[in-house]
Amino acid sequence: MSTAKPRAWPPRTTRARTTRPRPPVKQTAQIPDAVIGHYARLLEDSGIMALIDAELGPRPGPAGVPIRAVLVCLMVSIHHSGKATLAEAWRLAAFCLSPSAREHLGLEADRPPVDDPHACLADNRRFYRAFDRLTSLLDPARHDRRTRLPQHEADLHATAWHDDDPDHTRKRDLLQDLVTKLVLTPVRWGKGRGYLAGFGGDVGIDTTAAPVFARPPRARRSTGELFASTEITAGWHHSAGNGPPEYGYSATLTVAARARPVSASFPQLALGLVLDTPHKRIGANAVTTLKPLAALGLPAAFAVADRAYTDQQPVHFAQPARALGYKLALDYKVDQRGVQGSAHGALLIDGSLACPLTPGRLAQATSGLDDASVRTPSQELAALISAREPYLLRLKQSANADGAIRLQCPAAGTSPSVTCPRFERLHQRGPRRSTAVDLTDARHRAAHAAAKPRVRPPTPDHKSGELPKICHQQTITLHPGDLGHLDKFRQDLAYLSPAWIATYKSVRANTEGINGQLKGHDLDLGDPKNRLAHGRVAQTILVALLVTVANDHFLDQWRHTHRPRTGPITPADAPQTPTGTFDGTPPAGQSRPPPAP
Amino acid sequence: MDVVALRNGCLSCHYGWGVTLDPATSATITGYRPQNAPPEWDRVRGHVRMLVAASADRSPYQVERLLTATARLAVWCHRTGLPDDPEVWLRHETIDTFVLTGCTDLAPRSAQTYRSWLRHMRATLAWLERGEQAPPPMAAPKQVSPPYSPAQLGRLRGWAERLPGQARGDALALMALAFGCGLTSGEVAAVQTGHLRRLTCGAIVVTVPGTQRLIVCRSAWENVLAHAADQPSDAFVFRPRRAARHAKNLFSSWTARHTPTGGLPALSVRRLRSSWIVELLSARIDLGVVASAAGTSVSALARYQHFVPALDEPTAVALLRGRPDEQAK
Repeated sequence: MSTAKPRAWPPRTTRARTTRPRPPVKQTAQIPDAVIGHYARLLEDSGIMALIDAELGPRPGPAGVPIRAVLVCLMVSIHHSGKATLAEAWRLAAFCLSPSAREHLGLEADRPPVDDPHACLADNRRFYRAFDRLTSLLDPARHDRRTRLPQHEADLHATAWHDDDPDHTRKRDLLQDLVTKLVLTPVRWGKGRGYLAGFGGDVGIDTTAAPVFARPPRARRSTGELFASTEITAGWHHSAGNGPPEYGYSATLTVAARARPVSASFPQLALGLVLDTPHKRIGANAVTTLKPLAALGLPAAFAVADRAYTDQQPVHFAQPARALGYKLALDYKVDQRGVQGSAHGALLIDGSLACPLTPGRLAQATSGLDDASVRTPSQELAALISAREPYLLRLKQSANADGAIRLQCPAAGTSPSVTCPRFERLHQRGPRRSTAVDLTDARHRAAHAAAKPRVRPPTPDHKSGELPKICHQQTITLHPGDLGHLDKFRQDLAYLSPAWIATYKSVRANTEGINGQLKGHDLDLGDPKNRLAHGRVAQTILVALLVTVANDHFLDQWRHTHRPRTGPITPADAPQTPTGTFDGTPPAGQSRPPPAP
Repeated sequence: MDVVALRNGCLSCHYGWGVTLDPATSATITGYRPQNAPPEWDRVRGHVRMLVAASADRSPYQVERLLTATARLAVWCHRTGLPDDPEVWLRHETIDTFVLTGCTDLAPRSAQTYRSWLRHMRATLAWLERGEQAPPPMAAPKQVSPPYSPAQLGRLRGWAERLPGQARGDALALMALAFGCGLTSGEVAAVQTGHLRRLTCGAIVVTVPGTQRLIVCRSAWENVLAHAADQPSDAFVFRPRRAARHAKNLFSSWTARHTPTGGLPALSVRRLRSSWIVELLSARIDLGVVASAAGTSVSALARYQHFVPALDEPTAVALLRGRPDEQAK
């Protein structure tokens, strides 16, 4: 029997040591000059640098790192790693750019020495200070963004984000202007290349959470004093789903959506962005995103929004959106369905004005229905919705300059959808001479007066003086204020009709789709670690840069997938070759190279 | 009966009547349920049964058909938002809108037939017209199956007699019942050997279940039915091996497997019945007798008239002139 102990470990040989797993060495990839040139041109083309420079004005002392270089490096960082952090942007700027690219961005051609920590730290601080210069410039309420202020003090600062002070308003508008210009630059490029030729003007509007890394307000345990978050205007964003609320901001996004099957395809781009406190100014923010689209030359069709927007006061969302030329497709909560009110005697049923003698079962078809019944309507409900359509007032004249529309009684006109004994009595229309119906002719069969539903007034009918206006007149004029607060419910498609379903569900799918892409594996708006800079201005700029890069990616993906033919180029919209000596500039023209792998 | 004074000063008289139906009709009405009954059926079935029960006694139509049409009307009214009120269902405009928009899946003639049933029900039950519009006329082409020519019929019989085994018996039975007796497809399918009765004069009388009309086989086909009547068991005359009275594709499957040779057209019950009517009309048999035997109205025979060959001039002259003894009467 051997007395030798078995060895617990194998002998340490040189080979074993060399093959042992090691932590990965940080490899510094080189950013192609073409990528730098592309995002530098995007920033130049957005026109925000002129606004920033004008706001910055001449300042004494050394110029420091150009803000332009910081923004470009942030976009490159988002493009490569999905991170909108200054640390990653500085690392790229310091170690991953070629000397010519650094020169093009206004940085020193020589990189900071890697083995000199003091030089690196100094370079890093200069980079951070450039971004701080921008955020301080645009902040209407400057304060220490790294300290948790007492709540009352933070509230005072927070008022600057929604008060009427002219200087605060100007700065807020300037910040929003920068965001809009950034987000719309890829849209302008796509439009200039003809990629948006198939866009019909349907847009989806939704709000998604943009959580922040800061902690929510809390009370000090010892004194009970309430301390605010370092993000003084952030709040809890409650999504429509069952998930827990997220602390941060709400990003209102407007999406170029496709409501109907159309022959031409187009990239689904984000057309607007507003970052705000959750559940504040929801309607106003949506309108803010819609306003620049007309100036861009994009058509206006249906604006589709979820039930959070239906609850907005008409002056905040419905009326301004209509004034911009958009029609609305809305959804309702359980207690908002059915008969919602009336105007001039016409019933407001699920957002559409209808004949006052609409059968009760049709008018109340959706009353009290839960969401599941509405999302998957039964055969009986679908039949009732279909039977309701002939009773709806028809649009006789679109909105005039004051926003007033004319609606026609369904029994009036050359092609009435119902027959009405009251209408015939009041308007001296005797029953028409009945012509023979050819049952083999489907169109004749459906168009015959006998095929229309006949309205059943009460017996005996009311006296003429007691009848509503819609029965006295063949048409009524509906002014924006006629429905009062109920105007928020009015929409331009019959609720749950096939047209409504085709529009609403398609656009909502597009809207949620872009939310998913912005919070996917490539770019993740939902991860606060990707946006670590403090303050609302910083968060707004970083989210805008994320959405801008996402839009740029969408354009690229769509171009590679669909391979569109070269369309007419609008010189003002197409990217132009910069007039510099930069060697890394991609070739000018109607296309550009694909993004670097 | 009671009389109520309305607020506008008019008197309103209410009265009712009772109808007692036979047990078979009552069971049919009570047990009726539409195929693939929609969810709304449970809400309207009471009114449907009430309407059909009240009108069945005075309606010439089969109660099953009235149930079908009324149930369809009631469900359509419910789905279009009209109240579950029989008074609303049987208004002219409701019936017409139902026929024009709710019966688009039916053939035009079928839709018109539904309209006839419902309007007859309305005429039976509703006696007032309160502000209703005059119903518009509706037209649908009258399609009549063209009869076989006499030559085709002779060659078809020769083909049938040369078929082997059971196919021969089926072909001859089909022709005897449809062309010899003028039965419809449903009636041909229902006739069993027990329904055939031979009179002392040699005529074969067919008692079709569900009808009371007198059906006598043409003499040329009597031997076929007489042979079937002599069978000991009470089997179906056409395709006797089946057990069910109604079978899907009963005729089409048979005619598909037995295609006449020599360029002859396939056997069709409708064409055979049409040939029977034309043959009777060509024989100048009284229209009332023909209509009664066919189970239709005299006016319905007009659509077959253009198939009837015209009389030659001497015969026409003789008929128009008449006999002196007739004129004396």
